[in-house]
Amino acid sequence: MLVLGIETSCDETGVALYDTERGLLADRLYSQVALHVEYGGVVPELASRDHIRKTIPLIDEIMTEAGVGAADVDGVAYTAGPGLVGALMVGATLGRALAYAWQVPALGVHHMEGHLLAPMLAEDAQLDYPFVALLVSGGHTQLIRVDGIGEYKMLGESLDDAAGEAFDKAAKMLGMDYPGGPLIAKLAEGGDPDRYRFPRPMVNKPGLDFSFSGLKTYTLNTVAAAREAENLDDQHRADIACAFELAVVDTLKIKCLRALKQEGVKSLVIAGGVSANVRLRALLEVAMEEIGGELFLPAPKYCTDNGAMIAYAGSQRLACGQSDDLAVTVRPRWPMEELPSLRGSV
Amino acid sequence: MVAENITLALDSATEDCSVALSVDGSVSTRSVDTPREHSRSLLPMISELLDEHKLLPADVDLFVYSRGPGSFTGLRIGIGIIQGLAYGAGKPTLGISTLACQVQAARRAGIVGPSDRVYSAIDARMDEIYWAYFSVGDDSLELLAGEDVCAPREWRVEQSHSNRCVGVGSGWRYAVDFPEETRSIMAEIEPEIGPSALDLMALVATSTATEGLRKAADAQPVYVRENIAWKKRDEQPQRQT
Repeated sequence: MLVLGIETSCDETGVALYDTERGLLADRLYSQVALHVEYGGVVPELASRDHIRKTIPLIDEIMTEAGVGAADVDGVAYTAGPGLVGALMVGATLGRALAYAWQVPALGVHHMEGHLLAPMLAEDAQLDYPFVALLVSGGHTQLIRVDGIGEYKMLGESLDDAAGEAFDKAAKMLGMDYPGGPLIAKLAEGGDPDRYRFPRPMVNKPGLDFSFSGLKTYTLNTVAAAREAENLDDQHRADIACAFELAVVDTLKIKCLRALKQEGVKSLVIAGGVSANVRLRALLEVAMEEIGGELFLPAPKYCTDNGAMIAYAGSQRLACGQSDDLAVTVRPRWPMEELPSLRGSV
Repeated sequence: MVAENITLALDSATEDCSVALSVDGSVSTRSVDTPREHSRSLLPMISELLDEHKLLPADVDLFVYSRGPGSFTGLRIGIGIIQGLAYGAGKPTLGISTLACQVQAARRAGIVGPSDRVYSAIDARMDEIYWAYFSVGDDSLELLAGEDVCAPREWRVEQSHSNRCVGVGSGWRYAVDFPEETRSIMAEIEPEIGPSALDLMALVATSTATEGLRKAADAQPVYVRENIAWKKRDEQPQRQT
């Protein structure tokens, strides 16, 4: 089954063609980051305006590249939520109408399910259920037990800021642009990991929830103190970035291990934008080896938002006969537990 | 079944939304007036019309849309659907001014006729209106000024003493705020006149000449309002960190 996937939930326009037999045939991503940088964050109206300019040309490119004609596509999958309502609406209306014109089924896909299943895009993916997934991005920090597609149990989530949001805010405090994750990581490379030790929020409390607002305040105070002492030079900024990054990734690691232990599961998936963080990946590799477990990571290009993960997730559900009618609906908020299981539908 | 000309038109620029299907000049329509339901209503209405004629989207020769100005999200819902249909069917699109569309609506309602001058305005929210004015010909509309956006009290128009002047569209709900000289020249004011797919259909021939056909990717909204209420970082108040 050949599925066209369309992702327009935030500030990236992503499209892909995924075939359940042949794998990923082509994908394209257009990032609007440069457009939003000068505003210090995503401007929803600008994001929507860009999506409606870019989506069809990108689809046209991948169809040509893959040598695929209209008659070859068996279904269309588009992100229906969660995300920015106006941005979601572009991909959803366009994708649904395209499927109708092609007379094939269409399905609105849950963005986070796309992220969750992104490791499956690897050709040699040997991932079996159950597993624990850490979904970590600018909008989400969630630990989920996965027993199959659509069988999700929320184990814990952030009570305030998402981890990626904390990265963005820390970057701003240190005078850097949006998006903050890659910039903090780059700056932290030259930092002294022993100069500061920032607190690991909520690791001493039982449970699997996260909180990053205290760490944000701690970082703010550290930056303010350094500014007060007039020694916030480049090295000092790098040291603070390093301490901040270590605190975030260490907290994520501790909670992942706790979740695996609680659930008696040995496989861990990390996905979402922050899963591209090199230090987090390295730390979890070591930790998983120590407990004799296995870590599954999407390729870095499929960690951030992309069309391939939507085409993949959509293909799994469309292949089981799921589809949406012609009334287009998007869900800016959409709890993952509401997704239907595929068990028994094959 | 040769030489059939099949055109599909769609308007979702304001609170109402409608679709129209023309098969060899015979037009049928569907509409709903539920705000915020456009994305749920449009494709089901289109499929009803096509099904009635035992047609598929691929049979349509031309996809026509209300290109704005109007609600940003409303326009993108309509144009997202048009892009998907036109790309999927491999057929061209035609965008028609929403402000011109409601002049046509007034003509169809018998409110305006040849040699009238029509001042078309749409509520742009944020205490502004989108506006343009047209002279009405026998079967054409000529754009005289606009399209633009402004505060109601700033809408000063070029007056005409030799033509009958009529104000149409939701922007005229702000008439009390318009300059006296704008209001006083109107022989008639019809704030309830709005755009519809049926009226787009009537403008296809003249608009094809003025606007030209576009491929699916080039079907785009005309927002008119470009200076949106957000600021670049260097214009934002400095944060205390």
